[in-house]
Formats: sequence, C-alpha cells, structure tokens
Amino acid sequence: MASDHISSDMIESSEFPFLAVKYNVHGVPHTVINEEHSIVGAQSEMEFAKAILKAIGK
Amino acid sequence: MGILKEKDRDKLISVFKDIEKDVKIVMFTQEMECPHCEMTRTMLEEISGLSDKLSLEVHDFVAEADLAKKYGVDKIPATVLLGDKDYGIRFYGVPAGYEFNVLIEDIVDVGKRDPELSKEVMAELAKVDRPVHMQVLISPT
Repeated sequence: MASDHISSDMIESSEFPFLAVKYNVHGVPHTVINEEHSIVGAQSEMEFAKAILKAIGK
Repeated sequence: MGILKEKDRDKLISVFKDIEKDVKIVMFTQEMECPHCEMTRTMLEEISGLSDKLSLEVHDFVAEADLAKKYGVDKIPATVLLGDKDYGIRFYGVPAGYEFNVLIEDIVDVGKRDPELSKEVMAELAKVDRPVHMQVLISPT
C-alpha cells in the first residue's frame, strides 16, 4: 500500500512445499524479494524498507 | 457449523468498525475444491459477512484463468484484497493461525486506505522506483 511498485504475497509454506524448497526455506517467516534476496526472521519495518531498497540497488 | 467462533465473530465486528471505505475480497478456488480452498472460502464468507464495507467475490481459477492472470494469481487458494485500487496484497493458502491476524489487519488497513507505517519508513519506500515483489513464506502456528 505504501508504494505502487511493491506487491506482497503471504504464502502458507506447508501448502506450497515446492516454494519452500525453491527458496530454501528452513525457518519462518522467510521473505523473498524479487526472487533473489532473502530475509529470514521477523524484522522491523525500517529493516524491511532498507532491504527492499538494497534489492533494487539503492 | 462455522469456522469462526462466536467470540471471534464479536471481536471482528468490533475491529471492523475502523473500516471507513469499501474493501473487496477476491478469492480464487476451483470447481472441485481442494480442502484448503473450501476452508478459505468458508472463512472469507464468514469474515465478509461481518461488515457492510466488505464484499467477497469468488472465482474459478481454472474456468476464469484470464482473470486469475490479471490478478497475477498463479496458485490457489488465493485471496486478493482490493481498495480503490489493487495494492498488490495477496494471501496464498488458508489464512489461519498467525496469518489470520495479518489478514484481518490488512483488511482494516485497506479499509482505512492507510498502511500504518511510520513517516520514516514511508520516506524510504517512496524511493522505490521499480517493481518489487515480496513473498513472505510463513507456516501455521
């Protein structure tokens, strides 16, 4: 909602085990940004914002 | 028999009082419903009945493949939250356990048209100038 460029999926990993395997998920929450960048564990909103900017090279 | 307990229903009715504008919930299932799809649909039917600001549309992932594609839905059960526009919010799987609270919070945020983030975080996110797709993998608790 904060940006028109950002979309976000919440995925129940036990129902979609192929995604848990694809993204090498061993613990949850496990956040994947643009298929390439992973964040494991709960983080602050600011840390997520910074991770998003890092993922797009900002 | 409903999925939501009486006391959960009462709590949700009170939480949904904060909703100011309409929220449309779009769900994708299929004709031969998977157990998770049926559970999700039943849950969303019960939730959407608790506020007149909420509406629910149920679609068939197979028969309405074009619509699913339009929403970027590639697996089911899928739940899409819409306000004045599509904010890119999707839930895949039964929104149960911890995810249930996230769904409810997101419904209220969309209903308020307010992501409820700090000014500092909003300022950082304003710098985003290209598509970002986040996938948060979680599991039931």
